[in-house]
Amino acid sequence: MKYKCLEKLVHQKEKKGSRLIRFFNKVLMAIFLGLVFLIVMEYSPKFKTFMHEDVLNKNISFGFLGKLYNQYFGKILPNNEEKTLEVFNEKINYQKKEKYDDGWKLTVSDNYLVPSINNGIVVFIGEKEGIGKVITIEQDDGITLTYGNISNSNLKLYDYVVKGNFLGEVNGTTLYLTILKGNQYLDVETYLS
Amino acid sequence: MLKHIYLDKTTIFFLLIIILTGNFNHVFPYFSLLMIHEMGHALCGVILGYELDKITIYPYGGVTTFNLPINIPLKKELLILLFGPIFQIIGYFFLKSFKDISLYHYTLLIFNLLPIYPLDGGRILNILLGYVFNYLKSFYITFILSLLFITNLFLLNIKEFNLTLFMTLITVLGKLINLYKKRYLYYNRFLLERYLYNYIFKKVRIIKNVHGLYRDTRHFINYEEEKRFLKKYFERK
Repeated sequence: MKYKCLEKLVHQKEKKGSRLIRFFNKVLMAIFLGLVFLIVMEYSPKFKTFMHEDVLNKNISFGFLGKLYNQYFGKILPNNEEKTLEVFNEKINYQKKEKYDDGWKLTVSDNYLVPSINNGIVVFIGEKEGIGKVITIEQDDGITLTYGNISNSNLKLYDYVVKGNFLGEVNGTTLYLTILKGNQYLDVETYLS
Repeated sequence: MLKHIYLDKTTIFFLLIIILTGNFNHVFPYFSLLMIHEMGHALCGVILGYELDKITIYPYGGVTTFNLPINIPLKKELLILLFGPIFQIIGYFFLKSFKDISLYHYTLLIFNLLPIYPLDGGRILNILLGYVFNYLKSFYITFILSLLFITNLFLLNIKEFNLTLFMTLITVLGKLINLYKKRYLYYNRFLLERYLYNYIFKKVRIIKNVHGLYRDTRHFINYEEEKRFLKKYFERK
């Protein structure tokens, strides 16, 4: 086209500065912010403890943020949560509990079907030595639950599970359970009741 | 191709929210479907021989712009617009194994085919009206229909609030108002192109003044040949 300049006048905005200068500005900005944080941490011990304990040591709770967002701003993507899932309202019944590391070793009936205790997002699926297959779920109430020694599970990473959803079968008769709230490990009996 | 693709600010905000709320496994199927839709427009335009300007991605669909003259034949522009939904339907059958993909597909398709002007549906409506009404009149009709549909969507949104839809509606409304402000500028460009280049049109129409020119037709304005009339119009002192 001959009068391309006219097209550009209508559509394009002018960009100031070259790419290198813009990149350099970003680097300067990052250094500036880092220095500001360090100076503030040096002068107020309250901010320092906040940074060390809350910002650097705690995880982001995806489930909690998602619940909060859905409550005030509606759905993020057009997905319907009321799907036909295998849901059964059953709490975990066990015969015996034993302390095992930070968590609990529960004795349940043979090939016990494990339900999800609350709504949440699957953040980890994998094998651990001496425990078997492990599923970690970050729940909407801010508690992270880890189920150990599970087989026959068809969950995928970052799936959303609903309360009472089928997670998998117990391999044998022992189920490992770890309940983590913030930095504290909770008791099974008090949490489940 | 990659240097033409831009992410809008609302899209970056949308992606941030998706990451913070942990919906990672929805990102890939949703945005791949959206990109396939835009690639449809881009591919069709490039095959017809037009220069690609840029592709902007919004949370509920993208916008592909070419360096087009306004006097492009109506059929060609319609073809470019229709190829997006066609590609999306084809891509949907390839991506069918993903979870929730059918819902994303239908929401994207229906939202993009709504008769709101900067979206695909509104552009298609504008072209179809271009066969019957003149340039300015067809623009006004699409503008009023777009406003009606946008207000309806805003009312629906108040009933069940959704932040992402709200943001997209505001950006669409801003673009619509901007286009309305620039309508005479675009119309002047439309006349200038006709004056500068020799287009060959089959249809002939007799009209009375300069404000009633049709797309894709040759005119007699006040019983005078169009080219001579436009020469007087642009070279008057």
